Amino acid sequence: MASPSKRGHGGFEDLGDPDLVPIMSIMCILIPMLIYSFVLYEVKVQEISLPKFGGPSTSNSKSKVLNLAILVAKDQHIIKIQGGEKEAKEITVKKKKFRVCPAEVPCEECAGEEYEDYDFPGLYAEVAKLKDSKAFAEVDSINIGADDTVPWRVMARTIDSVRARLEKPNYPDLCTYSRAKPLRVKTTDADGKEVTTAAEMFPKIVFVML
Amino acid sequence: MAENKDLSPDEIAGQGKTGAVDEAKVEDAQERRKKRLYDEKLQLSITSLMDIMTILLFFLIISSTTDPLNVIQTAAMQFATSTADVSPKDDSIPILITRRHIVLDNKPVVAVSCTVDKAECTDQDFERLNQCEVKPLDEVCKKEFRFEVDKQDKEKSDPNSLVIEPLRKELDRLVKQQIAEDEALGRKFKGVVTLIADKEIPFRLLMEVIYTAGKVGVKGKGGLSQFRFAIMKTGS
Repeated sequence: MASPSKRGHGGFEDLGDPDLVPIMSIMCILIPMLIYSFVLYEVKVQEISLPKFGGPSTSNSKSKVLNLAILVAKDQHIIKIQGGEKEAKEITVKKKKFRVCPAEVPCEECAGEEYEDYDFPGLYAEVAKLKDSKAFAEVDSINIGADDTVPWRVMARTIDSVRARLEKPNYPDLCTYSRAKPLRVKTTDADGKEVTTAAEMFPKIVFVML
Repeated sequence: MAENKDLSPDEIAGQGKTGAVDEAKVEDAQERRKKRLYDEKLQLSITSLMDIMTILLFFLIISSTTDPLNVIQTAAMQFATSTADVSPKDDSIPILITRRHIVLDNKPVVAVSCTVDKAECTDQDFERLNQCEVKPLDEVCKKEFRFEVDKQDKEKSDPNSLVIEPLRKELDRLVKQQIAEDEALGRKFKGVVTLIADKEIPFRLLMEVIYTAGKVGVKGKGGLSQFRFAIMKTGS
């Protein structure tokens, strides 16, 4: 007489645990590979508007709308105020000497060698002053242009200097400016809820070609 | 000897006191006990570890494949830093501008030539240039690097033209494909471009790419009209 089947009696043959070691080996290779290719920094975007080819209007024009433009030259920033009732005005912010300051050293104790760089704290102070004036209180767009050779990193920092307001109206050096926090203000959103957002100066950036 | 197999070493040792078993047998029993305990410990369950690994693997695969801005930084591709805080959206066409190529849809479409002191740039030059924010006094930081697209790749081979022909053609193909896909899915084509540019790319080359992209589109169905730059967010 044949022995009764285990399955027939509702039982299963004990096959033991599956051998997971080869799968584990593949995973141990795959996971470090993926971690290596994983982006560990935060990527954000800066929106810009289409360039206006031909550059800003000439200094002789006297349109009623005030137009603020920043031009990045090889050795300075030029702030151009055009339009309105007054004559066109130019403010230059020349490159300045700053001290090399490693991230771990406090700015007050910074004693590195001197090097020349764009005066972003100076540009920020000038733009903040303009934004505080009555003429630009309601203006939210700014034109930014540059010499052909100006690198994107300089443009990105220039945009930062004009877009958002920082905690203080001016900073003595590049180190304290670079480490400054954006000013947060309380506003109400579309639903009427109170929210804290970064205070803006000129959030709409328009690229122009010279 | 066989009768001692299931006795513990202590029991065997106890028998030893009566003079029935010699020291060799005690040692043998101790060895067997050690081996049995060792074998029991070796039966490690890796199922829970497998669960963790599987979750981690899926998380990494999904994260690395869904983000179009997932660009590995190399000597020829370094993000510019900024305090901008706008999160990227999925529905944009990414254009990658490195120091060597303009890349669209994971394919290099145009070569970017780089010269420094009238010589072609090397990866060593790029690596030194990338250190300029930390070591601004390095000699290489004072040199002028020229990044440009060859005039043969410009419209009518004019070096002053703002239109990069191979990029325009490829963008045109991609936009038409995107419009067709959006129509099939009943969506509206948004025409958003995300420029992932290396931090050293000059303003002129950026404007050439933007101008070229601005020329692309299908009449009545829209074109590329919104531009964003990908940046690496800094602390402040």
